[in-house]
Amino acid sequence: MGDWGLKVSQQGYDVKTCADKEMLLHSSFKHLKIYMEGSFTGKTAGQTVATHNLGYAPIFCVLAWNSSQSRLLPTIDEDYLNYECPRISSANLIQSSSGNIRTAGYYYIFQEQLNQNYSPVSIQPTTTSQGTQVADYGMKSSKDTYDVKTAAVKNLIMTSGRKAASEQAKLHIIHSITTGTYPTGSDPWPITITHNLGYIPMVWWFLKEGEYGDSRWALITSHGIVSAPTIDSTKTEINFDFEPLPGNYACVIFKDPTS
Amino acid sequence: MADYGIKISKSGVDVKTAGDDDLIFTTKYSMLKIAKVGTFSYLFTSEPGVGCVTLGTVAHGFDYVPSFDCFFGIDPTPTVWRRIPVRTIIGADTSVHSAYCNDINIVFRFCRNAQTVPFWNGLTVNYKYYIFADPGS
Repeated sequence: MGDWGLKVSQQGYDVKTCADKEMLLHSSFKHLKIYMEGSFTGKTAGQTVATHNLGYAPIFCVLAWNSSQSRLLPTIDEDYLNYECPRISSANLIQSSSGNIRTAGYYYIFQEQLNQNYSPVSIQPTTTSQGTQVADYGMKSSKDTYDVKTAAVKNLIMTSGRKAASEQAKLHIIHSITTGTYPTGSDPWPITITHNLGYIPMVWWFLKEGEYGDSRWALITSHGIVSAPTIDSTKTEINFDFEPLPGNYACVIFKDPTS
Repeated sequence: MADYGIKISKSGVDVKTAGDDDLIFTTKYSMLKIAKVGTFSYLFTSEPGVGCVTLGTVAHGFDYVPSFDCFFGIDPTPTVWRRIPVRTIIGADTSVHSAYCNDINIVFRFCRNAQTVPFWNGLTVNYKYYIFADPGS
């Protein structure tokens, strides 16, 4: 089919000519769709946090809950210790089986498969300029039972913007997903994924760590056996602090820039 | 409501019969909505001591604790970013740059367990943050 679909630009950008990263919604790209979300408390080592039963490991993220704060996980905390995080399998989100654990938090499990390559789709890489921002424009869709005209943003499925231009809503657009295995050996690192976007994008790295004989995936930052992955305008890299056992990685690169 | 909304399938797939995995977009599922994007910068004008300090806060504008994402880079114009929390190990010193959200602010934190190797004085650290409208609690 030659030409079809739907695209919505961010406020002030010309939808016909703007860059991929300036899009809000584009039917040629893959977006993160929230399959399920929820809070958990009192979950100790090895306990199931949530059951998704998708039949594949989906992209996910978890925020740790501590008093009135939410923190990104996995994390090293202010006591400099590694904190273990829930990991995902093809059926469940499960607490780590050992280590320091945050027993409460909030999770998002997305519909998109984590361990499946997704080749980048680039249509318009050139940055454009933001023009006049109008007070009211775009499209929005509310969650079931909410009135789309009055619903708070958190109760919307999606929205192309809010009336305050400085608080414009945007969605995650996936640029690529790259999966592979990392071997054991003298020096198998770093693992480098090239994106050549010309700007520094948001990136999430996931590992299925052979180190722990784990069949589940973890979203990683500075944690355990790895240094925090680096991201620059052409590539992203992950390094290990010491020689790991063989495992798997999945690198999700978003079109959203960090700078 | 039994039937409502919008869905768009992948090219070549019938939108009326496509499985969820073959849909580019569907109002059946909500999406993470980035409500606020910004950068917080902090210049260390002296070598920070052992312990934890709040480098700064930014109001997110919601009356609940939102979910968020945050990346960290050094220098006034970072060319390399890392997703936080970021641990920096220099000799016997371990430093941690982190952030959290409460129901008012996103809070940017720095902790250090030793001060044997001067490193941070004169450096600018940057936090690129994304506040989602979606809840974090």
